[in-house]
Amino acid sequence: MNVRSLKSPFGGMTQWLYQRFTALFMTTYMISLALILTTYRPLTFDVWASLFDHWAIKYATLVFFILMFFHAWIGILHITEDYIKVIAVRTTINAFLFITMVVELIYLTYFLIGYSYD
Amino acid sequence: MPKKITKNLNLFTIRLPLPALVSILHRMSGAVLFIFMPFLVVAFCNSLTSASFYERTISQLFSFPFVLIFYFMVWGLIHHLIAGFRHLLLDMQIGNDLIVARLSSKSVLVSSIVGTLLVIYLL
Repeated sequence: MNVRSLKSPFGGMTQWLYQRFTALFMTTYMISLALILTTYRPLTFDVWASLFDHWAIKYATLVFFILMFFHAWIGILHITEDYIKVIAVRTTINAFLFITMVVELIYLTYFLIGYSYD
Repeated sequence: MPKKITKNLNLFTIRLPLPALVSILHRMSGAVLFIFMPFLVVAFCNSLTSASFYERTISQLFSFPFVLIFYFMVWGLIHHLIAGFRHLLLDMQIGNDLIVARLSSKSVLVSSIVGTLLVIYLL
């Protein structure tokens, strides 16, 4: 299997753009969340849980994680391409990292969509 | 007789230029965040499950082996964020001159450490 074929849906320029736009969303999300959290200084479980029960924060969090893994995946492809020269090894490691990433994402999506705080 | 090229690839004696240091740390911090992400995902979901899980997650997060990983991730996140911001500025052709690039990379290094200490102090 050729690693390039994993990359082919996104050319270099689109990868570059994806990195920047996902970064902008993630920065906005994290700064907003940090500002929200600092307004509740003793951060109790009730505050924490009801915050993520709110639909806007819940789905923003989900989008944040999806974009983060997308952003990370592009970065991982660049890193492994630079340092692992044997294509078979590189592809195996890429596949392993991809699977862990997808498992994390499925776990998070399942958790967040089904999540409610009573 | 061909001239022998002197090469120095010893990582302990190479002196990286500051912008190169910021660049490699940007890459390393991204890798660190990715590698330790499963811990964070599990901790995040656990903390939302119930009040007792919340307490347990927080006490675990600040207990000895995990607290180092956690602070390392905090540094990684802050460094990645600020170095990424510098990267966006460079994309917009801001700070491409050598003097400015050195100054901005110095401020990225300093501010990421200061920011990490500030977060550790506030938590």
